[in-house]
Amino acid sequence: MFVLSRIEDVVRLAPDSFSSSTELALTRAINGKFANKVVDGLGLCVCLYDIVGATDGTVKAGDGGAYLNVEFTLVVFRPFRGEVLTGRVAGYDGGGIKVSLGFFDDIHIPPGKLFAGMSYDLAAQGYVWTTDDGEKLDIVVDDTVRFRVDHDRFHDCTPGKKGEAMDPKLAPYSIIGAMDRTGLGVTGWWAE
Amino acid sequence: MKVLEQRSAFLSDLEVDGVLNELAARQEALVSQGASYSTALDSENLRTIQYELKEYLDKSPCSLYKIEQMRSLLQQLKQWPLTKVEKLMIINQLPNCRAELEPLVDELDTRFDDDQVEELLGIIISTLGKRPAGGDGDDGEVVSGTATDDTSMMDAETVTT
Repeated sequence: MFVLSRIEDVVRLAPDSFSSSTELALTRAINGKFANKVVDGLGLCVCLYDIVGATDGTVKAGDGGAYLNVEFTLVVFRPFRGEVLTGRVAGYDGGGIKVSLGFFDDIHIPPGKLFAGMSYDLAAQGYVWTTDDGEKLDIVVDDTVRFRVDHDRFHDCTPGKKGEAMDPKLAPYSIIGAMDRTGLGVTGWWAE
Repeated sequence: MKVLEQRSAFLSDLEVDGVLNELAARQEALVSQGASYSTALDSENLRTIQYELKEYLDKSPCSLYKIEQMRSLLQQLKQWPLTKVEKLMIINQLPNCRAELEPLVDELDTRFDDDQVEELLGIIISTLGKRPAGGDGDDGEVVSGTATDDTSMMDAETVTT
């Protein structure tokens, strides 16, 4: 689920941080900039892992802050293709099932990636899996489910691109999952 | 900003849990030294991801074992023809039975015979333990709370100076 990513960036330390150690001030600044943010192409950044190195701070005219070139590693949430994750069913409709991990919500499982015998039951307003044995298993909100990461998608949310309005529904980073093999789906289905 | 290496290493859930614990300990240390809670916790975004991720990890299988057990399992699995990511998923998901192992290991049937699968599950269970039965959310266990629950918990925790 998580990886370490090595990044190089320019960090500005405000003058009021000069009293603390460089390492602490950099930690604060980097965590402030990256925590809980999606970096396009990278994933959801969690926090700083460690600082590899930093140059001395340079000062620019008219600005009291110090600018440092820092190389550091971040803990990033980026599940790999084919990884199996456990989450909670946040909701569903004819278009698919939404799964949430608590800290990350943009996981969608389209109907095409569900078990062959699974379909949306309009009467029950839910997904029901009719197994080969004739058993009917349903999925309910808050069920713990296991799913496979099929692929993920990044959406560039840079504002003001050629005048087009930002679509609030398009998440910067979303995962499309699948629940179509043994062991996937509601965890209670497979427990011994 | 330049990404030098998109993926320099994989981290298991347990290792990330360790990173979060260290971060929390450091923040606590700063608070006890006299900094206010708001500066020690650095930023709201950090607080949010810390809290939500810790909540998720506390309910995931990694909360059931320690790092020494994880290292021991990896040592024992060295002789097994499993890829790095398969071992990572085994550590993160903690399969209890064959059905739970199948999605983690590609072509389980062709690569291992039944005895080997049993042996593998046995090693996993004896080294890391078994996930508690019925603790998987179906029986009314509260998995992660809703968004509103999270924010109200956070407000209660934050000490305003």
